Amino acid sequence: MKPAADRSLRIDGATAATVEFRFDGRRVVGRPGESIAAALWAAGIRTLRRSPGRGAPRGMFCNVGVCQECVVSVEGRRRPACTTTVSPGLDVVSIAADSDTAA
Amino acid sequence: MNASYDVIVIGAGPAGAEAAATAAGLGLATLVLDEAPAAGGLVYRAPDAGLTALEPEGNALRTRLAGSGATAAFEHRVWHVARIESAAERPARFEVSAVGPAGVVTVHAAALIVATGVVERCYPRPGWTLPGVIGLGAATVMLKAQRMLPGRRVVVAGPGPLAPLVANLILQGGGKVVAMIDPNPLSRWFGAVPGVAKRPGLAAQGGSWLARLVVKGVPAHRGWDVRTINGRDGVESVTLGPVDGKWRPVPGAPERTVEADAVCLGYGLTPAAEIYRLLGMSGYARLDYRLTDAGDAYLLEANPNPQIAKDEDFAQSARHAGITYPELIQQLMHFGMTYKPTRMIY
Repeated sequence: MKPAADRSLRIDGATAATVEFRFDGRRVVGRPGESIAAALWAAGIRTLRRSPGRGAPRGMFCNVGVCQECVVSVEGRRRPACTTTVSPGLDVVSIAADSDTAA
Repeated sequence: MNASYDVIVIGAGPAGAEAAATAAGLGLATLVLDEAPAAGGLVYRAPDAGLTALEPEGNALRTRLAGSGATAAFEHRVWHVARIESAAERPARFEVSAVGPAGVVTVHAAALIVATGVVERCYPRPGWTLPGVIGLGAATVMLKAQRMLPGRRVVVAGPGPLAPLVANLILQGGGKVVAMIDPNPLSRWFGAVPGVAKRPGLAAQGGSWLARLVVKGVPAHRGWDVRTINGRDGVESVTLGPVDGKWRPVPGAPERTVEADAVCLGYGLTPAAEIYRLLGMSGYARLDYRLTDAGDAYLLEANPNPQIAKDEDFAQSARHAGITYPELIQQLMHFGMTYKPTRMIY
C-alpha cells in the first residue's frame, strides 16, 4: 500500500516547509533544519537509491547516520540523507544500481 | 577548535554531555564531539529547528553543556582513535580524527572519555530492505525530533518497551497502528531484551504505554513476529506468524497478512563498542545476571557499561547500595587506572 500523498505525515505544523531543493531533478520543499531524508519522506519519496546487485529499492532505515542505506549524492559527494540538512537549491541525486562512484 | 585539549569526550548523549560539562566545570580544557546537530543522544534527541522538544530533560542537558565552557563540535563523525605512547619530551596522549562540515580535524588530549552509547539490533528477514521499513530508533527520532509519522498504517514490532512507545507516539500523531507485535510473551519482558529492559523504570513506563494501546484497540500479537515484508517499491503488506521461545518461526502455524505502508522494528540495543575495540581496552565490564523461573542465576552478557548516566539503573543501583554518583565514577576511574591486564583478549 502506497503512502497516502493526500494526507501529510507531518504531525507538527508549527514550521512551514520553505527550503526548496532538487531530488533527481524533481522539486522538493523541506523544513529549515531538517534532513534530506525527512523532507523526502514527508514528500512521499522513500526510495533513495537502488541496490548495486539487483537494483532493488532502498531507503532510510536507521535515521541516525549509521546504516548507510540512505546514502545519496549531494552536490556530487556521497552523504547519508538522514544526517545531511536541506539547504536552498541543493542538488540531490540518487545512486543508480550500476554506479560504483559518486554520481 | 584547538589542536589539543585536556579531555576529549566522544558522544554528547546524556552521559557524554554530563561528562563534558563536569570536566569543563573543573577547569579542564574540554572538547566534546558528536555526529548529531545537538547534544542529547537518542534518548533526549534535540528537535529539528522550530519544533518543540517532547522531553524537557534534553533541553536542561543542552543548556548545562552550552554554559559549561566545553567546546562542542557537532556534526562531527569520529573515524580514528589511537593512543600515542610518550616519546622524548612528549607525554602519552590520545589522537582523535573526525570529519565535520569543514572537513577532517585531528585533535589530541591527555584523557579520552568514550560515551558512544548503543546501537539498535535488527534481524534480517525477507523484505526488510524495502523503503518504509525502519528501526524503532529511527521511528523515535522521526516522531520525537522530526514530528513526522512513519506512515498512515504502521506495523510496530519488537520486544520490550520501545515498541509500545513508538506505537503510542504514532497514535498521538494521528496515525494508525495496524499491528503491534512482540515476539515474547509478556512474562519474559525483563529477561529477554538486551539493553532496554535493564531499566526497570523504562519497563514500567512501557507497561503503561501498553495499557494505553489496549484501550485504543490496537491489534496485539504476543509470541508472534514479522515473517516477511511485502511490496514492490515499498512496504505494501506485512506477513506475521507465531514464533517459539527463541523467536524462530513455528513451522506450519497459521500466518496473517495485514496491509501497511510502514514497518518499525527493533530487537534490543547493543553497545557501540568500536572505540573500545580500537584501543584494545579490557579490564572492566558490567556483567548482567538474570534469574530463571526456578530462581537460578545465570550470566546474560558482559557489557562495556553503556548506561552509566546519573538517571540510569546502574547509578541508581549504586545509590541503593549507599554509593553516591561521584563516588561511583571515582571508583570506576580508580579501578580503570590501576588495573594491569595480564592477558589481552583481542
